[in-house]
Amino acid sequence: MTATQAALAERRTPPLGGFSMAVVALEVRRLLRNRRTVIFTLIAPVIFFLLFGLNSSYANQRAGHGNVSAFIMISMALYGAVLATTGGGATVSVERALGWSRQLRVTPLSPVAYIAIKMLTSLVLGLVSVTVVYTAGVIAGKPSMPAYLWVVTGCCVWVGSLLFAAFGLFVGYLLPSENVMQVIGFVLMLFSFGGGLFIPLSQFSPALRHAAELTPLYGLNELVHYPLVGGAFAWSWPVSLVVWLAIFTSGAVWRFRRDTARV
Amino acid sequence: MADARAGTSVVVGVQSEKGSVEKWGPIILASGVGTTCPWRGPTRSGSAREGRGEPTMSPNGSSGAALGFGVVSQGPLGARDGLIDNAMSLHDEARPQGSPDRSDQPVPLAVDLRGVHKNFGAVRAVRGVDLAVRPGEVVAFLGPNGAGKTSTIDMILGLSRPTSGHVAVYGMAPQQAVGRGLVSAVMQNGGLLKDLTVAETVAYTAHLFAVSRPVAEVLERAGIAEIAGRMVAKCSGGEQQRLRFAMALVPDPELLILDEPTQGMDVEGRRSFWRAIRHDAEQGRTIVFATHYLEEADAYADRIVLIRRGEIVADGSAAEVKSLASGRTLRATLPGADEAALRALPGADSVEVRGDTVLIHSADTDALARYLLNNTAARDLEITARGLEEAFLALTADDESTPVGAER
Ligand SMILES: Nc1ncnc2c1ncn2[C@@H]1O[C@H](COP(=O)(O)OP(=O)(O)OP(=O)(O)O)[C@@H](O)[C@H]1O
Ligand SMILES: [Mg+2]
Repeated sequence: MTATQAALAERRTPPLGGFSMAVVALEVRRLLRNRRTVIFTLIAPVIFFLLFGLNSSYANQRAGHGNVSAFIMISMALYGAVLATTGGGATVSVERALGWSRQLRVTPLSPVAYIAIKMLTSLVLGLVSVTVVYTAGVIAGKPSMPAYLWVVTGCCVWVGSLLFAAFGLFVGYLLPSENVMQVIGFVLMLFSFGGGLFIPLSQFSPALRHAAELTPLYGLNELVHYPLVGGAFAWSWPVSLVVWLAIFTSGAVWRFRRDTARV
Repeated sequence: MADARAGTSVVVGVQSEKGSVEKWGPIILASGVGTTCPWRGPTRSGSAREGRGEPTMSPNGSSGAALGFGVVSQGPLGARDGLIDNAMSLHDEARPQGSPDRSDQPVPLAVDLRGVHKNFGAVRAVRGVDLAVRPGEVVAFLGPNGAGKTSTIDMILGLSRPTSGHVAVYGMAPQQAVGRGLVSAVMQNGGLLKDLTVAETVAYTAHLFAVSRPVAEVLERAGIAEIAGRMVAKCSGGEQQRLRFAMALVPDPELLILDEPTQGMDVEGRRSFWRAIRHDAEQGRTIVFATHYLEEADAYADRIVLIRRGEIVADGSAAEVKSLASGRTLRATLPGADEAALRALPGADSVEVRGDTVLIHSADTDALARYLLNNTAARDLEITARGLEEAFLALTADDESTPVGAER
């Protein structure tokens, strides 16, 4: 009997609410195992870069401290990173549908640690996506900018994509469907056009352009290109970023609270 | 502890001595060779882990709080009421009387539910459940669809909060117990990621706990070591169920909860799954499982809690509840019947004497009838059959106006 009492006393909760990098590693492995994730987040941006970024009619034209090819490479890296982080966050949708979230609730894993694991997993996948696009750029040889700008823009894209991990979580908690990735693919394509990732906004009509400037990728896209392009800085970019971050985060927190509420 | 009167049906009493209560006792079967719970044997009760001594047995259910079998032959409603009364009195005694100080208790109760209600809007899923599960017990929640088994289990696991009432697991809040790996569960359905392998799923779970068993050992114990590298999506239903079981074993919990663990499994899968659980339970783990199958509860639990419409309608050892639900009842007129003598008859599960009428519940009423007619003045014999399922249904029927089998 004392043995049992001692056993009870010995039991403890894990540090950091059950968070561990080993779990992040398993989550990344899961994502990389998913063929659709790999094709859409890692391969598609590279293909887009190869299609649009190497066109000799404009690729070598000057763009700030580098050339247009480098500009497009950054856009495609952002596209890939955003897909990766959104997709990573949105996996909560599938996990809820599968009952995995419920299973996790009978483990010591705290909801906050779970979100942290999802965020980090998304960031790792985002980093892979950026690296793949930049590597394609190096191999293709067309993009040109000072060495430090490769690092600076790459990091800006990567860190900025965290905004969309929040978006992914929000959508993941909002849509309880296994088809959430299709919805996300479509929505992100719209956001990418709105943000000017595929077509420069200068080519839009003024009315369409104003509407596009209100979409979530606009501010982020301008910001990650700023180190390369330089020139006039618009405060509307960071404002856009912060506002959308607030919207996505509060949306995610709202849905998350509802989800974990003990009814 | 072996009873002198071999061949006698003996009720092992739930005895209250100095305020401490022994577990639900089993029955010494006709052979007189004391087997206690169906699959653990009497030796278990001495294990240090459980912290309780040899079950105190007393012949003829004469101990204070013994679950008398007299109620059994009263027909469904009577039996139900009788059992509830007994069950309630047991639980009252099982608890330190109203006092939060449990220093006199060696180990807190594994599960302690008091007056637990759970409403989902207008649906009253759980309606005043009182339940005390002591460490080392194997308890089955038996009841039809919608009886409230999962709702009750969810509250024990901290997945939901009771609308009213008190839930404690090893003396703490359910979520605390879960956080410490004291309790884990095999859920009724879902709960697996298709894009992980079997071993990865267990490893994932293991990383979440402060202390966990090695993955290889857990896979071995759940009997899925040879499919460790298989993707979960490719596992059969039975294999997935074993995987859920493996995940539940990861923290080496004191209390393991299984919600309809063999749902959708074929007979062989069911059998081998239970073999794995049985092996595990032999180590002394406390197990609570929900099931629809009377046979399953019978074979693997040492205590059965029958739940119907959110209420506990019967609570007793497997043998006790089984005798509620099987066998036949012999009814005879026998003036001046000697109750003790009747109880001593081979195969008499329960005896009740009401005036000149005796009611004997038994699996072998033919032999009893022969004996009574040959050796006593018994007359007007009536034997009423009650099928296993029929009796179970009668006990757990959703219909409030279940016909009363015999007079009260
Ligand atoms: N989230 C919920 N919202 C509304 N009603 C619910 C909810 N969960 C359970 N119920 C209802 O509560 C009752 C008890 O359900 P519960 O799942 O506990 O039964 P059960 O004994 O586990 O049944 P089964 O054997 O089918 O698993 C049912 O009538 C069910 O419809
Ligand atoms: Mg259920």
